[in-house]
This record gives sequence, structure tokens and C-alpha cells, in this order.
Amino acid sequence: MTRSWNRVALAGFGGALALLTLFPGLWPWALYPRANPAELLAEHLSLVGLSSLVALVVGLGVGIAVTRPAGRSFLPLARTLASVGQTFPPAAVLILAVPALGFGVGPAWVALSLYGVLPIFGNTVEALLGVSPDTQEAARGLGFRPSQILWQVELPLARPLILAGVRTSTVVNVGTAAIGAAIGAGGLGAPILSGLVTQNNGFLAEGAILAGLLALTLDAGFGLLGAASDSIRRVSPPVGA
Amino acid sequence: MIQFEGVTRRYGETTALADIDLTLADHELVVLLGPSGSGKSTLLRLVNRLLEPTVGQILVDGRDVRSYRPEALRRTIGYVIQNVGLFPHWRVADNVATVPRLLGWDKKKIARRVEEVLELVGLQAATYADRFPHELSGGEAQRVGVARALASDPPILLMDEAFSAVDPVGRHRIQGEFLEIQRRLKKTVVFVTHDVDEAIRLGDKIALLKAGRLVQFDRTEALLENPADAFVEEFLGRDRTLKRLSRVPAYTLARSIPHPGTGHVLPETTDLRLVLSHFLTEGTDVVALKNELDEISGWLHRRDLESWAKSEGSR
Repeated sequence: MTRSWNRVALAGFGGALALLTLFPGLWPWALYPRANPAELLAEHLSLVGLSSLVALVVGLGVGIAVTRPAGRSFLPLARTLASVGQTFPPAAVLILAVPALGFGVGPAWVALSLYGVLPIFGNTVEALLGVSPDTQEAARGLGFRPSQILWQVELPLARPLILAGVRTSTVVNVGTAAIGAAIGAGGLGAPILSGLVTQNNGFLAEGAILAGLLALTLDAGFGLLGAASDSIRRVSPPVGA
Repeated sequence: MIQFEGVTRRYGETTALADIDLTLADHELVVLLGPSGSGKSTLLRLVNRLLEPTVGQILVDGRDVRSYRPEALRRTIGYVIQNVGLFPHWRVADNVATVPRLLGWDKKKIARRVEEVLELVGLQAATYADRFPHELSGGEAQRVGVARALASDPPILLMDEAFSAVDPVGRHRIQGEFLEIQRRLKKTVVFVTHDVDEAIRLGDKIALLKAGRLVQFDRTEALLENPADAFVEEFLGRDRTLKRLSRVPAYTLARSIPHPGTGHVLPETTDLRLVLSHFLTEGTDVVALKNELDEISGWLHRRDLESWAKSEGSR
């Protein structure tokens, strides 16, 4: 997707999202009464934001660890776990968290974090393994320390693919977090759930439209970030490293 | 000086190198030659500790390489590999600046050095400094690889099949350019190749390896004249005489002027193999030689080559 499309999408979807949350009067029908759209969005964002952050740290960290010489023996196991984990539907992950952790925001955070790790971990591993052996051999032979190879060569080259993983993970988490309402996590899933139970299509549409706009906005935002990181690749190495 | 003392390297059950003793003198270009699996690359990679010997030790200027931190050691030894391994996310200038930057040189000194060393390998700094590796041809990338290895002016240069990935025409050119650079810089070069012609063209000395053993180590001319055994003889090829001719510039056999008149004039640095080729294709027996100033400096008769080949061969 082109950069200009991402700009337009970010402005359009983001603008719509902002208007519909900040000015509830714009909605032509009665809204979910227990919380206003801004509160719901804030809850949802904190759910997604925190879990995606945890997913980033864990996915990136484990991805780096299992591609180091010391962690290589865990690579096949980690990849298998990741691909098995990916086959679980997100709803199942959330539901399974309940017997283990109970109801509420906590287990939703844990479940979302776990589920969000997978695309980030997978892309990190593929990206790091994809760095040409010749490039790594040259770096070693020229006298880079292992940490310098990681920070100056491997991660900069892996960045676009890792960022793509973060994008997928975060956008998927927006949808999964909506299901989180089923285990008492609140957020934009609350009006959807309430709408389903009480057969109120207005509540249902409120949650669905806002969650959809949020996902599209984040997707466009990450798209722009990805394009920017492509041009970051074109800058000089750090000085005095 | 680089010394291998009783070096053996095993990978599990296989022995890649068996009890190698070898001393490489300063300022010489030594080619490690051998078929694949002969252990030549392994031997090279022991020098900068990309590999460690199972038994024995490697000394650089009399000091055991194990007494250095590997990274510190590598920053003092230039390294060029077959597929160059340029950093794709850095411009040519940044690639070349790699080792000076790791050594903590100041920015101005680095910039000056990058320009200097790019010009040294025949690349205009103004044209190439800001390019990315994917914008270079194979030959240009290999030149950048050489520039990167020379950037910090290391006394030792390790080259692992450095020109093998370049197409034949480009390879011949870059070999010639590299010889010119080496004549000026006089580095201690260890050059791994499986290509006999490349070895003969570049090497002051050749160490021939077979299945992890050092079969013969000698000056290139001496190796061509006196192969130690049937393997060496076969590996060097039946046209050893022609290969020897290729190492000798015409002026070493030149007769002094006055010379019999001839329309055929060659530069005096032309190697004897090309002179012979000239005799054969032009149907002539005599060529005049000219020096750099385009003055006739001597001449050669076809018989001079024949008697040289005979006398050298019978020695």
C-alpha cells in the first residue's frame, strides 16, 4: 500500500474515530448508556496498548534470544510453539484464560499479550535468520562484537519485517480485545456484547464501528511508520559505536 | 610474519588440517591453493580467530593470536570474502568506514581515509561514496570490499576466494589492479583460491594443500619448475611451461639494441606467454620492446623463449 494512501487513511479513519468519540451527539441513535464512547475507547486502547507492548518486548526478546548461538537449540521448539499457538482462535485463547486467571481486565491482558506475541516473534525470527550469512561473516571478520552485529547490522536489516509483525499483532489485538468484554475486560466489546444480549442493534453498531475505525487507523499508522523506517534504513551508522 | 606451528583442526571425526607448519614472511602475497576440501579456507580463518585450532598455535609477529581479544585482533587484519558481504543498509562510504569507526577514529580522519582508499581501488569517491551496495556491479562491490579491508591500513590482509564471484573478464582486471595496489602497499597477504591461474598470477609464493596437508610451499616460479610430486604436477596442469612464461616479463630476456628491423613492438613489461602468443599469431620471429616512454629498449627472438624454457625446465 502506498504512502499517500496510508496518509489519507490515517486522516480519514482517525478523524472519523475522533469525531464519533468526542461528540457522541453525532450518533443518530441512542448509545450504550453505561459508559460514553471516549471511556470505552480509552479502555480498549489501554487493553490493546499494554498487551501489544508486552507482546513486542517478549516477541522481540525471545526472537533475538533463540537466534543467538547460545539459544539456537531452542529455535525449533519456539517456532513449533509459535505456529501451534497461531492456530488457536483468539476467542479460545480468551476463554481458556478464564479458568486459569478468572474474570476481569487482568486475564484479558495476559491472553491478548500471549496471542500478540506470535506474529512479532515469528517475524523477528524470520527477519533475523534472513540476514545474509555473508553479511554476518563480514561483520564478524571485520571485528564487530556480537552485540554490535545485533544492533548495527541484524536489527536494522530486520526492522521492516519486525514492524510488519507488530502491525499485524496490534491490529488483530484490536479485534480480539473486543471479545475481551465477554470475560469482563470492558472496552468497545462491552456495547457489542450488550447489544447482542439485549438485541439492541444500536449498541452493537456503536462498538463495532468504533472498533473497526480503531483497527483501520492503527493499520494506516503502522503503514506510515513502516514506510518511514524504510527511509531510516538509508541513514548512516551510529557514530563512535 | 604469520607462523602456523603444528596446527591441526578437526571437526568431530574429520580432520580439516593435519599438522601444518608454515611461515609467511612480511610483505609477501602467499596463495593458499588447493581443491575444495583441502583446508585452505580453514587455514586462513585461523589467522583472525574466526576458527580456533584443535592443536598447535598461530603466531602473528611472534605473538600467539589467542593472547588477543578476537575482535581487537580482527580489527588489525583486513578481511575480504568471496561474496563481499557489504552491509546492504549502509552507503559505500559507511561500509568502507567500518573498521576505522570501530577503532574510534575521528570523523574527519575517517572521511579523508574513505576517499583515499576508494580512489586506491579505482572508484571515484564523488561517484560512489553515496551509493548503496545494491546499486553496484559485482566488480564494483568487490572493489568496495577490498577498500573496506584496507581502510584502517592493516599490515595483514586475508582474502578468501576474493575475486571468485566476479565474471572472468572482470576478474582478470581486478587481479591486475590488485597486483598494482600490492606493489605499492606491500601488505602481508594471505590469498585463498582454487584457481591455479589466479594463484600463479598473484602469488609471490604458493602453498599447495591437499586433504588438510601441506604438499608444497615454495616461490611460484620454483613450484612450477619443480613440482614436489605427481599431485602437484597434475594440479598445476600440463601447460606448466606456459604458466611459467606468464610470470616472466619480456625485459628480463631482452637483447640490447641495436635490433634487427621489425614492425612488431610490445611494451617491455608484457609477459613472455603473451609474447609467444604474438609470435604464433603474427607469424613473426622477432619483436621489439618499448619502455614506458615509448622508446625502443631491446628486442626478443623466438629462440630466446625456447632456450629459456629448455634451460629453466632442465634445472
